[in-house]
Amino acid sequence: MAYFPEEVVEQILGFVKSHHDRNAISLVCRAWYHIERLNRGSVLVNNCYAVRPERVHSRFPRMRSLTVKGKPHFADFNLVPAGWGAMALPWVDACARACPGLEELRLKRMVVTDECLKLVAHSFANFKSLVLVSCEGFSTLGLATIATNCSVFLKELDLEESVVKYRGHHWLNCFPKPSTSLETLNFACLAGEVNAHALEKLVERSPNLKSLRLNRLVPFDVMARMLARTPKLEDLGTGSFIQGFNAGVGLHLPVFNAFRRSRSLKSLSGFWDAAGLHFQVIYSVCKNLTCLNLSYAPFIQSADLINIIRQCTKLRTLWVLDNIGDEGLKVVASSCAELEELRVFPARTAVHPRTALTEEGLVAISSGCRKLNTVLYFCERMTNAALIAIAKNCPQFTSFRLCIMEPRSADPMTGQPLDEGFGAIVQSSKGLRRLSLSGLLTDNVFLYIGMYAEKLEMLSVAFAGDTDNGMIYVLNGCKNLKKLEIRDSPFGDAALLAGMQRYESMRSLWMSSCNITLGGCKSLAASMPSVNVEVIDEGASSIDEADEDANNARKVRKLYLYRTIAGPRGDAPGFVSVL
Amino acid sequence: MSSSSDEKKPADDAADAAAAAEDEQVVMLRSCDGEEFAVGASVAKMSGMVSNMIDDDCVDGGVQLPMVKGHVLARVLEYLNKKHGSAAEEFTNFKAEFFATLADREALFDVILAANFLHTQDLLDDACQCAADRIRGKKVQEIRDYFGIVNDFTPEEEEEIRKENAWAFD
Repeated sequence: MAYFPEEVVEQILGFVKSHHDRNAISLVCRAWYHIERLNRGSVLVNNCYAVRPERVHSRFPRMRSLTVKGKPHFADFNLVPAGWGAMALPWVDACARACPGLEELRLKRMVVTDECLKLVAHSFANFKSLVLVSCEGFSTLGLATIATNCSVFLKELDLEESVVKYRGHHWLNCFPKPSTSLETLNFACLAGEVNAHALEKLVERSPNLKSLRLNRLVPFDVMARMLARTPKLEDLGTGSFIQGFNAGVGLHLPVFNAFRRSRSLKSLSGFWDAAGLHFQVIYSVCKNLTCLNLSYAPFIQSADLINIIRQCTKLRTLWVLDNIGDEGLKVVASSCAELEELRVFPARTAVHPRTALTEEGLVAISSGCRKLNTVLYFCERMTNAALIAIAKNCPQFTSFRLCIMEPRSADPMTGQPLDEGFGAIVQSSKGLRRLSLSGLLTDNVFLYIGMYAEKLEMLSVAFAGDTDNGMIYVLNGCKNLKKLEIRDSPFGDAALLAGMQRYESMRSLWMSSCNITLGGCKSLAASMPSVNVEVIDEGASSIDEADEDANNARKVRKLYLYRTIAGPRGDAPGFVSVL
Repeated sequence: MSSSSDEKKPADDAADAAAAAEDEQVVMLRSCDGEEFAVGASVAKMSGMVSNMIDDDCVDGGVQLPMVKGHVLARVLEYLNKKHGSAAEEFTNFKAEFFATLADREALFDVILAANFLHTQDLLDDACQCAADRIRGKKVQEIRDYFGIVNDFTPEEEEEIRKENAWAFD
């Protein structure tokens, strides 16, 4: 039996980063539980309502980095009403009291107010990193307090996909002088003008900038000048390609040169209003790119896309719009052997006649890109034959999300549901962790998923299935399932209650526009005290206690349930009943 | 220089060469089971413990290392000599092989404990990284078995922590 002094165990622990491994280590014995908890610097809380902030601090008093996630995923599709919850303030407040040494705060799908940002700005002397993904509730005034007060050490300010209220552009002036420690600045989501002069001055005094993502109102000439001053830049989100582009004939050469000299540039995004001819300026960096996001560039034609992509031979991640068409994807397949992740989004503006994107594009990709493991594909049609071919070509999917635009679309060649196609995917990709279904699907697809998708952790279902059995197959079969989200599918109380044994081993279940009733939800809540069962019913008339039977028969529009050690939450708004 | 075994260890060769070449002080390290190793001061100083003794001028009769066996000390010195004398890339390759030969967990633990005792921080870091790599993905009981640790939680305590880990921190 080995005896390690505590300081040696701590040394070993210092090299254990994954929270899975740390959780296992904490269970080894009493001594190791305490050594680990005093040593854990990075804490991950995947559901802000699963545990109280005070408990997090009491277990991990030396925390340096906190990540908290709030609303369920379907909030991205506007299914979670405003005011539902996920307020960041209680978490920041608890950190301010218990953890003044906090260095990093990462929040996802939470409501962050300016008051909350002010508290962050004033509470943590060593604060280095603020990452707000898909958050909302704050304004540029809140950003100003962060820039002003988190001065010396701030390395990262990242507002990925957040909604920010515009209250002036003063915030860019507030970063420290004479220089900042900034390495990452991402304000691509900001709707509103930025002061170009202030921005240029900021970039000039931020010599460590590696990642800079501008919003669509930063003029092209400003970006070009900044690019010339940021030799270490690895990731650039461009500003506008129209404003400031035609400012002078002599403009093009400096821009070409600026890109040509950016030897470390590996990742590009933005391109908001770029058209084909604009892309010539980036040709020189294409061969070094590992990451390219063109999903905000609806004006670019397939032929121009092809010219760029042909040169991007080292690409690992590509996000595009469906105007790339099947032909464009075939070029990706033949040019990008290193591709690991592909996302194809629907173009919202039909600028050109829609270039055809069918199942052929994805089949070509699966055949040419042997390292592909993550796919998100919006398309108009898909066939079983194509899915079967894709499954055969690509047994290493970890995430497969297919979104056929029209709900309940059958296989256009055979008129059949797409059960067999998805069945092939789950059977072939044994490591599949995330799956989103679409198209016409019967209970059979769920039978296959239950049988084969052993490693599945997250399943998204919309307009699918025939009977309760569909949901029951999944609940019985997928032992590793953590998140199940279902909308507009005919699953009722029997299916809901069949999962009683499962919900404590899952993180959450979302069901909206299904066939569950209030009575069914109450039944479930009564038997599962450690699961919060929330019925979300905005606009519904208040529960009339008098006619209980009629009440219980009412269909529940939105249900969100999740396991928790925090008990029922105290901040639920009026339209949420925590049963 | 004396050695308790007839064969010259690789550590000795390198040490002799280093010491002879630089005409520097030679320190005699003695393991707990009586093996002796002559080590040039520049390598010996990579041990914080020995370095202090050299500075305090206490190494004349040799340094007795009560916690460290001969075969373990040999491995430690192999690492230190290589680190002292190699370029970065060569040393990276050496490290991979060195830890591969410490596949046996007892051997790895011996090196970790020796590195801790001797305050050889680089070796301790590398050896602990190796141990961390080896427990990656392991289940709780597998980690206990690997380190030879007995579970002293009550079933209730263990269940409570397991639940909190899974529900709050996973």
